[in-house]
Amino acid sequence: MNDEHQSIEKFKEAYQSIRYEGDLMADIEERLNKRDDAKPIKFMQYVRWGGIAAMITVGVLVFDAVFNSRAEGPTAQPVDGTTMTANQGKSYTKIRTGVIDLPWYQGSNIEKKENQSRPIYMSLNSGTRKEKIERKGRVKLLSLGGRKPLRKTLLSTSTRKTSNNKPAEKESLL
Amino acid sequence: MNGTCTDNSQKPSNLRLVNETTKVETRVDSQLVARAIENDRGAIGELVRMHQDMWYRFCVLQLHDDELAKDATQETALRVVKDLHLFRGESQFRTWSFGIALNVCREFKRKRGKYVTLDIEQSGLGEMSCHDGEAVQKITHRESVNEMMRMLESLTDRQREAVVLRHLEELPTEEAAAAMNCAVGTVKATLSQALKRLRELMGVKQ
Repeated sequence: MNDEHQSIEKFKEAYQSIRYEGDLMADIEERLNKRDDAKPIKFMQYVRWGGIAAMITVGVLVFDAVFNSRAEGPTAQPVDGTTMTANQGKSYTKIRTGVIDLPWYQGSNIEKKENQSRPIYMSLNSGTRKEKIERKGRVKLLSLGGRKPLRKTLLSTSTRKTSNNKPAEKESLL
Repeated sequence: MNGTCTDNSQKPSNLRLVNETTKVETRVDSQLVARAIENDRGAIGELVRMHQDMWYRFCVLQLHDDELAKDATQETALRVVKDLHLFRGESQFRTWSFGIALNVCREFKRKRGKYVTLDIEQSGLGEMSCHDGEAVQKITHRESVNEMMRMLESLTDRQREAVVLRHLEELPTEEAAAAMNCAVGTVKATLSQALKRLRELMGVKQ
């Protein structure tokens, strides 16, 4: 224990003899003044970052407002007879009328054409069941267009026709 | 402050002397601090000059690098001056400033990356404070500082902090705990482990 005490005392002595070389106050004086000068610069930095944050916030709000108005509630469903949602349709008509209302566009005959034949945007899934079936039938017919009918049916119709016609002919001949 | 409020009548004379010296120091400190808070440059300078060696010693033992320790001491002094108005007088000024020095050293260690074991000869720690000018004293001092550094190097950061504050700076355990921002029991346990390790290194039997 005596050795331990002596060692600690020796350590303490060595520790206490460590000194800071020079004048610490003189060393930090410059940095202290610098810190005082740095205050307005820091303030300007805060202002700059605040400005950037405000601009980003405004941008996000505008972006959000635009997209919210385009996809609101039940209007997300497609409008009957079109592939567009209600809002898309609205904006489409707005754009179209906007184009038509342009003063330099007034003289053109686009408007007449619009009245004559309005394009119908039709979805295959819209309408009543009957309409759907009808439309599907039409599509089928259209897809078969230009294709030859089956031979069997041709033969059957021809035989029937001939069988019906031949006796008649014979009758007339007779 | 906490250490000075105890009854000294039954204590041995050397302990009473230490307590009285602490009382005087505390009174001087509090007067200086009060003046320094009112932005008295003279008082600030005096306060820094009084504590500069103490902060530097502490930083050197924590960082094991003379230059880094000087930087840490300057940073400690700057923070002390800047945050002086936050000192509430609940502990001694010395303890409060040790808390700042401790945080600065931890930050510097973190910035430096993982713990680097520096060569004491290269770091210039053995030569840093020999003002006496006598060659024999210089060598003796250098040897004892090197030995102390080597011993403390084998401890963990926490253990080193506890040993330096409690045994080398002679802070009461409560004050050391306040500076280290932990419980008194933690300090006691850390100290016990540290002393056990040091005894092993010194080859002292318990």
